[in-house]
Amino acid sequence: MLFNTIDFIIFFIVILGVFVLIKNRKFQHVFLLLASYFFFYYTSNYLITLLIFTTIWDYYFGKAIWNADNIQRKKILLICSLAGNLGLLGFFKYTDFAITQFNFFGHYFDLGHQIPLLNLALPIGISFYTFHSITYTVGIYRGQLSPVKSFTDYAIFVAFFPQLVAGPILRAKDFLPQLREKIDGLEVGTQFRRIVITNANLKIGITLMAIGFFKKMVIADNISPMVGDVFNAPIGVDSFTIILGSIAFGIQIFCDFSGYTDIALGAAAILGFKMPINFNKPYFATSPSDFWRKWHISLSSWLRDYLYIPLGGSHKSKTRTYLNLFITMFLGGLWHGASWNFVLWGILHGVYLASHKFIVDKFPLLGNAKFFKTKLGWLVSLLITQYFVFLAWIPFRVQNVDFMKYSMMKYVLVDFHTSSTLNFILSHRFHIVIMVGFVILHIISYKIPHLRERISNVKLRYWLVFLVGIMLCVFFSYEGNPEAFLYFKF
Amino acid sequence: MNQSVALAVLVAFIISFSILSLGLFLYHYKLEDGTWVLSSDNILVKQRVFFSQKFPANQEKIFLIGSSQIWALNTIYMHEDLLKNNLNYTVYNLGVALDVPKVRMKTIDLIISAKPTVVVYGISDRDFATDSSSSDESQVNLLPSPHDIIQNWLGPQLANSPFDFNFLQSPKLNFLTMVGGLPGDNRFYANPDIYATLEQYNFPIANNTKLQIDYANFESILPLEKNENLIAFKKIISKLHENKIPVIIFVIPQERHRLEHLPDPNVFNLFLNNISQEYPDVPIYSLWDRYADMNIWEDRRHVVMNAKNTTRVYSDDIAKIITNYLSPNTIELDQSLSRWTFNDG
Repeated sequence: MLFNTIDFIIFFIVILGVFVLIKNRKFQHVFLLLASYFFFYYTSNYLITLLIFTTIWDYYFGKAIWNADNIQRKKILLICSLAGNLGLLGFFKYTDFAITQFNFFGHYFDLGHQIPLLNLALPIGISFYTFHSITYTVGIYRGQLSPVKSFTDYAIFVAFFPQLVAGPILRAKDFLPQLREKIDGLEVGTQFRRIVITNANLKIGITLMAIGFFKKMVIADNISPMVGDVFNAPIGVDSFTIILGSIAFGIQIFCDFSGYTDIALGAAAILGFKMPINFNKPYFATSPSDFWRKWHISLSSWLRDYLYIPLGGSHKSKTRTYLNLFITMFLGGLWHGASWNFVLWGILHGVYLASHKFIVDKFPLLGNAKFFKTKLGWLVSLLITQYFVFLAWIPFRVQNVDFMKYSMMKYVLVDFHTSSTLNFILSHRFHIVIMVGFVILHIISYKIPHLRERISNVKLRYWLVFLVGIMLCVFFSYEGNPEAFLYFKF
Repeated sequence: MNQSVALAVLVAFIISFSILSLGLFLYHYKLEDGTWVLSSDNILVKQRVFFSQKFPANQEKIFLIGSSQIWALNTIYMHEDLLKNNLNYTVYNLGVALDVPKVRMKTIDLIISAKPTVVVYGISDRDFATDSSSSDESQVNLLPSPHDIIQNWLGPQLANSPFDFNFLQSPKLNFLTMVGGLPGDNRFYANPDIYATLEQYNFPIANNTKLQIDYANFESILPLEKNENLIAFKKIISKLHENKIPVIIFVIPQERHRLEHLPDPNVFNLFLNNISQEYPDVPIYSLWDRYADMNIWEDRRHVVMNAKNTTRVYSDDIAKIITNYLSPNTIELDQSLSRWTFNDG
């Protein structure tokens, strides 16, 4: 079920209505779980069995790890749990990719026999709910949390509909306690938290959802055709147009993904759940590491805690640190999709991070230079960082190898032709206006901290005007067919 | 929970939806003699007016259907060409801007009611492109799908509704047309006499530089099984067959620069193969690259509606195809104009 459809709106209103009318705690939790399953089933049909399997698998492994009497046994059980999760993810997401590579090498070495592809359906959200589950079993292994007594609670954590199919990636230790509240007057013991829809939560939640819908439907969906015009057949297109296309795609993917996240955060907030923010103005980042502290934060922190740090992080030798960064981003790229263009995107960011770390380590005075503390220095850092970020978006968007090579070459080796770019801009006036609008709004949101909270705190009549404005923009940019979220494919 | 916030949301929705509905309603309808009627500029109105006319009795009609890419087919030239071979047919060009099979389905009953002798359908890869992305093209629903259940119930309800909600469709397109950012196109050249009046116009032919930098969208094409336009196209052919109306399909010509930039031309070939296998008695002719290097283009997709004979070759070729179909022994088509066959090599 896409967020930007009437189906979801009706679904969400029904859920809220039920929570307002029925106050029984246990019923509310079971209803939330069933509603989440229905949400998933609506889009994924029989593939809901994978979600349920993952839930049951890690629920019982979590208990087993907790009850294991020695560290060796805990480790073995954790490995089994991870094997199950990652095995499922690997099978559905990467089998055909592996077969394609095998067939390619088989053809290259003239082995003769070609393995037929399985043409497996990619279960929506598998990358996300797999990672959710992993935080649970690893959290228990590390002693960060104890296993939940209620299967319903755990199942809600895995299947919670706002974040189920495209994140943000929740941590069990942060989300599970939100399902419980202390029993009145008792020091120990908890009960299901009653889900109460408060005015404050409703206002902030709807504000977030409105901003999310605006980003997705007004900005991302309207820029998408222009990006297609550049990158669907880029051979012959000049440099400035390629650069413009790359910027447009950067805006598209940011608004698409952060728009989805805003809707998810808003829906969760209305229900009284706090979810981690996933984006913090990444296009104002001034270094590769700064970028990854601001872009898809739940994924980058997950990779840091469950991959980079177990590999040794920055506690081994410098060379090992660079290698760890590279491996982490390589796998991060592969997580995005079973395709070499995503791997290349990951590799590029790995190179950026490792190179930046190398420069900072080798030239510490450079990092502390006065120049970079000035406004001009900040701007230079920002432009350099974003130049590389937008370069990396090209392989993320363009799958065809020849198109990708051509586009990246044109991005780096600028040909300075302008006439066809001007013609392109004139024939895409509407999209350019949307891009300019995004830049202005993005700068405003950077200059005014906590803008969303401020909007949700204004008087009701001004908030009404805000809502009407957003709804009109959304309605008048609706083409009649909802575009799926880009990150649904991951 | 205090209901003020929920009420504010509801009020905001009512206000914005009202503004949307009013804006689109006033754009599509006008007040005439105390009743609201569709604006005569509306393409649906134009089509209804055309089909509601009383055609001369015993008139043999040929309907050309397709998008704006068939507008260059001059029906007067075609009528002259057919007459030379003793075929007295009135040709009507029913091309509609942005037409695709899903849209054409809405007027197929009107087309059938006008009882044409032959329908000639011009298609290209654009007719099977999609503007919506599927979340997973390879997924099959093994269990009942709530979405399909709701759609199957809701579809007939809306179709049988006494209210016409069509004016609410595509708000974006209407909005952009209203503010002038996107040229709306309600042109309808169904009346053959229009082509006579177009003689006085000098439509510009694009030079090579313009064609080099011209941008034509390359929309993605969903696979055969999930392509709604292909499904609609087949329904159109089936309906025409049921009403014993012969169909000729021709592949619309494209300009060289567009052909060179196509991501994967074989995809469209597979579509044609699929259609030809399902309807082996429906002839398909391809003009795909026939005029690719000629100097007859307005842009990469449209042959110029030139009234000075320059682009007559397009009309002549279609007339030849029709003549060959109606009277096979009269003329012989040259090899490049023969029936399309699938080449998977």
